[in-house]
Amino acid sequence: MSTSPEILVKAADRLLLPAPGTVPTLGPGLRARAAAVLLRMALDRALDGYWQRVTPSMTRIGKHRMLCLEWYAGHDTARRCRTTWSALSTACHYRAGELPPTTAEIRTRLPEVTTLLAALRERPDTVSAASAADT
Amino acid sequence: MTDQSPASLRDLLVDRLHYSDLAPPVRELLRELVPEEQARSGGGRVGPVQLRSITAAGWRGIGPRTTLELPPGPGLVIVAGPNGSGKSSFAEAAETALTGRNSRWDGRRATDWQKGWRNLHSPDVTPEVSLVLSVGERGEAVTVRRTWHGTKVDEARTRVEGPDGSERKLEEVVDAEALDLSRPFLPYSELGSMINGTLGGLHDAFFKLLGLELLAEFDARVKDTVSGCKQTVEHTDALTARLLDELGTLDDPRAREAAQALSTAKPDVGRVRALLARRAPAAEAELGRLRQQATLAGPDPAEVGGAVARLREAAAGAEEARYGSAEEARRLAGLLEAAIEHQRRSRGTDCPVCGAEDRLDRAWAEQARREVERLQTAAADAEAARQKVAVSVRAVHDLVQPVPVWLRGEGSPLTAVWQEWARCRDVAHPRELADRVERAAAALDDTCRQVREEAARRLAEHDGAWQPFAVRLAAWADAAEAKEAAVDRGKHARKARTWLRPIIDELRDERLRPFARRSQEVWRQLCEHSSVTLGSVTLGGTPGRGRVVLDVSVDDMSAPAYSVMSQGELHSLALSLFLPRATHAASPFGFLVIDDPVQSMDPEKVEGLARVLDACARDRQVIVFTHDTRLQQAVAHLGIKATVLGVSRQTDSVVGVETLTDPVEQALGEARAVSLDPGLPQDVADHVLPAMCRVAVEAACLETARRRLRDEKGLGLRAVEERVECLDRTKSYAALALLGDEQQHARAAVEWICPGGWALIEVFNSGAHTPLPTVDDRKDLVRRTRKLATAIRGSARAQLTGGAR
Repeated sequence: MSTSPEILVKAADRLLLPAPGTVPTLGPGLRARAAAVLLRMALDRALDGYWQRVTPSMTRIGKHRMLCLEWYAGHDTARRCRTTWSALSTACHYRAGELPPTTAEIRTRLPEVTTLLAALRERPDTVSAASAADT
Repeated sequence: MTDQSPASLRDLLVDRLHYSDLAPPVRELLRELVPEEQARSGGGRVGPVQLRSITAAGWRGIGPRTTLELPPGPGLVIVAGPNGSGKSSFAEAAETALTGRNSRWDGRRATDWQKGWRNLHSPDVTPEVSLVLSVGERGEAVTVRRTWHGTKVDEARTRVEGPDGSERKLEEVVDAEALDLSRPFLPYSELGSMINGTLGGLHDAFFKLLGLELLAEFDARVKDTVSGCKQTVEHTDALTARLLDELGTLDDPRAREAAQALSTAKPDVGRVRALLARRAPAAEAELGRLRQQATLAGPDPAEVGGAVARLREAAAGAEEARYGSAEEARRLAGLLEAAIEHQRRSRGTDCPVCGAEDRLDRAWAEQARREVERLQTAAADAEAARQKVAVSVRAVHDLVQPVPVWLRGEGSPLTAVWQEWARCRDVAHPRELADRVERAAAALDDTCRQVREEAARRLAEHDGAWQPFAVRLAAWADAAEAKEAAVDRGKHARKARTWLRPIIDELRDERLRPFARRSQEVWRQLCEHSSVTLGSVTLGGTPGRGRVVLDVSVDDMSAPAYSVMSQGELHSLALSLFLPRATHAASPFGFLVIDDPVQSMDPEKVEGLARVLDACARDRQVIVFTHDTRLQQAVAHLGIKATVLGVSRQTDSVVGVETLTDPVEQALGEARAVSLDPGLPQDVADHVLPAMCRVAVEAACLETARRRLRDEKGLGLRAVEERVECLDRTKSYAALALLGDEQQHARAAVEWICPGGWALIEVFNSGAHTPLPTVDDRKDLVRRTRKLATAIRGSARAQLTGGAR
């Protein structure tokens, strides 16, 4: 539980783009899926940290945590968080008859996760939450 | 985005011309050719147009009459439904009703489509597609209905009706040109084919949209001048070559001189003109004489021969019965008659003349009577012969013509011969006359023939050889002078064209830039992480035969768009090009209809699409048809306010439409989900749930306010949006929605439609929330909110039908 979200993102990055000269032992599909898991985990950790600062016992239901986030972190952060989380979540799951995600597809999510981590490090802003609803 | 440049294109061009370093004649030429500014029919003349509903009956996949009601005002509407549910039929119905045509008709499978336009399950339903529009400053409900009177897809007529059922003209409602230029329809068939199919058409549309026809016309005029001059030069050169060739065959000093003048490097027009002028008057008189000679007519030999023969015959007859013997016969006959008379009266038989006796008896009398008759006949014959000779002589005299006036002064042999002929008139003696006339006529006829032949020969020399050349040389001289002018003008025109080309490109790219930028924006939003980048969007080629040029590159290597793009990227590109055109400021259409853009897009593009559509939907109705649930998902995840209409098809083409969700339901749904979570701490619930409920109520108010302002206050789309934009507090939202006036106090109205509703609104606004410790408290808040929202939305419809209040 001690691994920081940033380290998870870095690990995902290494999976998606192996260092030059090294030959990855895992296939691209598997690496993409593993990276998706790591990125989603990073996002969850960041949300944990965020809610920890708001209230000691936030619900564990991911969707609700992100719906409520809008009224603390603003519409944009909350909605991007939910969209990225949902996309990563879809990529994590095995579905029969569906192709695994490509590394390129997951790689596009990585900078978004990094941006979100930075946004979630901000102080929760309960005062302006009401005005956030207007966006 | 603004596309109305402050300066007119013509002024810009004239200005550029003024400061150019072109030679004065070139500048003059360009000034002469620059077209006048055309008056453009202003887009948006009748104000923005939005859709209220789309109806179809017996059309494509739709059997019994079905209507797709659309929420008022701008916003995103997703029409969802599985494949074959009739979604596209609605999209096509909208386009067909408004434009009278459908882009599918133009495709390769057009024939199949044209046959299959009618719904097969409903032969008893009269086919019809119709739209109800919101039009103009008062947002009037105008119905555009297309019905069919035949079995072919184009055997149809469109009727437009105002709100009171009166017939309107379609042009008054919708600007046909704008419909073409800012086409608000993007059918599925065009999504994939835009790159290889319609870039030319798109170019033309942009060209008109940007008011660049003036440039095209200017360019065409300069081009025409260049080719016109070139033609004149070529024509003259060909003329010179042909003339030179033919002058060589003519044995005439004038022809040789003309040939010399023509064969110099720069043909000497002055010399040719001088040559033609010198010859003219003298030659003309001579020619006149020759022409007279050529038509010279002497005596007709046949006629003369006949007359002479008749004269000779008469003369011969007269000689047999001479005039003298006739006289004698007549006298003798008189004497005998007198003797017979005497004998009859005296009854004597003695001759009173010679005195002989018994001679004048009966036998004598009979003999004498016979003698009298013979003598009288002989006398008459002689008289007739004399008459005949006189007539014949006169006839011959009549044939003799005097010397023609134009011959008289001449001492030519012809004149002498003719005088001899004329003198025949003085001869009276028949035999002599006959002989002389015969001789003179033969001589004159011979001479005349010789003169005629000679004249004809010389005329042929003149007219047949030189004269046509004189005419052609005169024409050539005109052409040669025109050529000299054309050579200069052509040179100037070519210079002008070289100067104009980059300026046209520059001006059109400048005008296109805002559109291009918007295209790139849309592309970036759709394909943020694609390896394909869309660089500049420019108008290439010559105006009139141009196409939109896309600077597409893959990993920084430029490449043709269609070869490197995936289907999803092609669709994205089509949207990138479609949206700026359809959403430009001057478009009179406040709506967009896009058929199935989601297909073959990957999840990230779908998210980008949702964002792009959301941005368009801020000030437009965006109606998107899709069978793919991913757009709805993306909209839900991104928290984009949207109305989702579900289309479903039962057997026999019975199509149903239901509202699956809308901004009110979206907010209520999220609030309800959160309210049911027992793990949600109270402080979060207290903070979040009233805010979520407030969003739902405000969404209900917004929809109701738009409907009320449009239907009851008669406000146009712009006016409605201006009022709606100013709203800040839930109380003013409610006031505008229920009373049509945000300044009034809405408490009574709210309590009237929903007792306890006002307290709920105060909870949203005060910030001093009632605590929500338990799930039941939270569920109750959401339930009350739903009740209030439903009441607010119901109020506009109820009032319209004369219900509450």
